[in-house]
Amino acid sequence: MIQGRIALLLHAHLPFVRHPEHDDFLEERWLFEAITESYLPLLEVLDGLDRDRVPARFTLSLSPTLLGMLADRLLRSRYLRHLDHLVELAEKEERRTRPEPAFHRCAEMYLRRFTRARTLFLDEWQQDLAGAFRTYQERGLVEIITTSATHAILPLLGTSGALVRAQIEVAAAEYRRFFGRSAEGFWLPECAYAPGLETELARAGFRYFVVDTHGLTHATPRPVYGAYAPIACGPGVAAYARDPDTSKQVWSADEGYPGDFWYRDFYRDIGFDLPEEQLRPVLPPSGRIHTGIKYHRITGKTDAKEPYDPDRARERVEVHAAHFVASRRTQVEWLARTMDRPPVVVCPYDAELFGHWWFEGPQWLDLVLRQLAATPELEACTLGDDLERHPVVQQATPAASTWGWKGHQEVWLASQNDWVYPHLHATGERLLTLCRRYPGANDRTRRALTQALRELLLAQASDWAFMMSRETTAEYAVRRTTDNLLRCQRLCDEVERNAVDDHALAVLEDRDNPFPALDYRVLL
Amino acid sequence: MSLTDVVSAGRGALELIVSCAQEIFRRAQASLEPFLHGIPPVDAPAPPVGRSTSQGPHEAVEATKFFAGSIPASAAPAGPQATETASLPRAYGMNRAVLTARDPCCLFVWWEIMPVTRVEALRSLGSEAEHVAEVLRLHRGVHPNGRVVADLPLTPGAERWYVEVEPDDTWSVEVGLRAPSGRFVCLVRSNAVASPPAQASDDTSVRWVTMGRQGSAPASAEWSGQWLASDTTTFPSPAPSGSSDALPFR
Repeated sequence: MIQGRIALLLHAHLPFVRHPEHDDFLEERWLFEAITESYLPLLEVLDGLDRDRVPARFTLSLSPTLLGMLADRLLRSRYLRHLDHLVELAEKEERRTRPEPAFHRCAEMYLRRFTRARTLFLDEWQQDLAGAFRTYQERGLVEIITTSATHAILPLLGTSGALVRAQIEVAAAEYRRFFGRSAEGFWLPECAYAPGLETELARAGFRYFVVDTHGLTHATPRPVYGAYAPIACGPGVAAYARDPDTSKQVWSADEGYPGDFWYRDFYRDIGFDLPEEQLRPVLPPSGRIHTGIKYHRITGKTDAKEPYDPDRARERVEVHAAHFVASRRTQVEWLARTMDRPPVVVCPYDAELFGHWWFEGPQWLDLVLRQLAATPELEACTLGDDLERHPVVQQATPAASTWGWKGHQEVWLASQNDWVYPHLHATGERLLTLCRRYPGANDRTRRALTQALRELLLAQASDWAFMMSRETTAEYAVRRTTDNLLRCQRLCDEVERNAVDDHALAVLEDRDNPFPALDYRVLL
Repeated sequence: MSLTDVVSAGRGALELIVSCAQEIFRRAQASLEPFLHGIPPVDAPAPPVGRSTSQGPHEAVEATKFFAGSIPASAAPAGPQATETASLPRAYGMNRAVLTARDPCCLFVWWEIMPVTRVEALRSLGSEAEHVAEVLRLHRGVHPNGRVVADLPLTPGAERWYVEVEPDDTWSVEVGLRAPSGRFVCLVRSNAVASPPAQASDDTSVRWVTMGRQGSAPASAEWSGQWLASDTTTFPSPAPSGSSDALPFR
C-alpha cells in the first residue's frame, strides 16, 4: 500500500544566448555543455526507463527560452560543430593518454560519450530535443511544465500586473506551440512567490506551482500538513512546497551526495591543464575554457586530485540512490503517523545539476526512479498526479519567499544588481503606455512594438541579476541587460515619432528571435 | 507719508522679494546640484545595507551553468552592431517611486523626481527651504491612513535605498523635504507592500476546498486530523549503507 508520494521535479533553464553576429560566442557554450552533459543524458535515462517499462513519473520544467534555443536552426548547427570538435579532441586524447591507463580509461569514456551524444542528437532525435521530451511526456514518463517567458522573477517586475501577465501568458502560449496542449504546472523562477501571483496563474489556466518550504510553513492560515501537502491559494491553483531534506541531500556539495570524494571533480578540466595547441579546435582563438573533459575525482578538500575511477563512482551512485530511497521510506512512514492523506515529498532540482555539475547525477536519477518503482510504500509521481488523486486541499495563502540564499530576494536585489530595476520598471511602463495607445497598430508599428516587448522580456531574465552578483559573468550580464533595454527604448522612440527604421527592425527581429508567435497585444 | 517714502518703501519691499526669490533660487540650485549635474551613474554603489555577500549551495550550483571559462573581452570579434553604443538614460522624466519587499526585514525603493518638482517643493517651503533635508518617510500601512514610523535622512543624490522594517506588516514610503520645523513636503510617494512573515501564522483556522479544472469549491468534509508539528522539516535519516569514510556520505 502506498504510504507517500515522491515528486521529483527537474527544472531546465538557460537564458536566451544566441549571437549570430559572432561566429563563435563563448556564452553559447552554456547551452552546448548543458545539452551534452545534462539534457541528452536525461533523455537516455528516460529512454532506458521507457524501454524497461519502469513505471516512473516525474515533473520536468522546460523554460521557454531553452525551448526556443533547442529549436533554433543556427544554434543546432553550431552545437553540431561544437560536438564535432569535442569528438576530435576526445580522439586525440584517447591517443595521447595511452601510456597512462588511469587517464586513458577516462579518455575512452569521453570519446564514447561524445560519439553517443552525436548519434542521439543527430540520428535518434533529428536535432529536435524539445520533440524528444514531448515524446516521453506522451509516453507517460514525465509531465512537462513551463516557467515565466524569460525566467523573470515575477515579484520583481514592478507594480504593473500587465508585465507579470505578459511573462506568464507568453510562456503558456509557447508551451502550447511546442507541446500541442496547455501546461498544468508553472515553475516560479527561483521559487519566487508573492501573494497575488496565484490570481495571474489561475487566469492563464495553471493548476499548480511550487514554493520553498517556508512559503508553506509560513502560509496563512497555517497549513495543517506543513510542507507535505499542497494548499489551495487561488481560484483553482494549488501551491506545493520544496522538501528541505531531499534538497540538502542533492544540492549541497558539503553535506550532500555530489560532494562524494569518488565523484568526478567539476573544476579540474584539461582546458586549463594542457598546452593550448593540444586543445584545438575546441579552444577559442584566445583564452581558456572548460572542454568538459575532466580526468580527476573530487578526492578531498585538496588541490592534489587523483584520477577518476568510473567503477568506484558507480558504486557510490548505487549507495546514494539506495540511501535516498531508504530515507524517503523512513520520512514518509514518519509523516504518515500524523497525516490522514499520503504525504507528498516534493524534490525540485535544477536539471543542469544532473550531469553538468554532478557528473554521476543522471545515473543516480535513473537508479532512484527504478528503486522507487520497486518500493510498494512509495509512488514516484508528478504534482499533477498528486492533485488529481487528492483534490481536497486546505485553503491558505503562501508566504512571500524564494529558494535563494536566505529564502528571499537578496541574491537578485542587492547593491550589485539593484540599478537595473528603475530601468526595467520605467521601460516596461513606457512600453505598456505605448501599446495601449496603439491597440490596433498597422503592420510596421505592430512589429516594432512586438520586438520592443521581446527585448523587454529578454532584459527581465533573472539570470542577469544573478550573474551580476558573481564576478565571473557580470560583464556579460550587464551588457545583455543594457543592450536589450536600449533596443526596447529605441523602438519605443521610433514608434512615438512614427519613424520606425525597417532595416534596423529586421536586424533585431533576426537576432533576438525567441517567441516567434509573440504579439504586443498580450500587454493589453 | 510722502510719495518719496511710499516709493522708497515699495522699492525696499520689491528688493526684499527679489532678494528672497534669488536666495530661494540659489538654495534650490544648490539642493538640485547633485540631480542636475552629478547624478550617480547607473552602476553607482547603493547604500551599504543592500550588499549581498554570500551564496548558498543552490547559488553555487546555479553558477556552474554559466562557468564556461574566460576569454579576454578584446578577443571576441565584433560583428555588425554587436552591442549598443548608447548608455541607459539617467532619468526618464517622471515622478515615480517603486517599493519592493526584499525580505521580512528589508524593503527596497527606487525613485525618480523631476527637477521642476523639487523647485516647486522648495518654493512652497519659503524661508524654510534653506535648511531642508531630503528624507525617506516610512509609513506603517498605506498613506494617508498609515502611521509615520521614521524619517530616514538620505544621502544627497540617492535614488534608491534599503529600509529596515518588521516582518508581516504593510508599508509605504514617501521621499520628501523636511524643514527643521518638522514641516514635510512630499516629492514622490510609493506603492504599498507587505513584508513577508518570518514565522508560522497564528491563524489556525482550517477550511478545505475541492480543486477542480474549473476552479475550486468548498469541501463539505469535516476534518478531525492531527496537525503536523510546525517544525516538521527534518526527520531521522538513516545512515547510508556502505559508507565507510569519515564524512557522512563519503
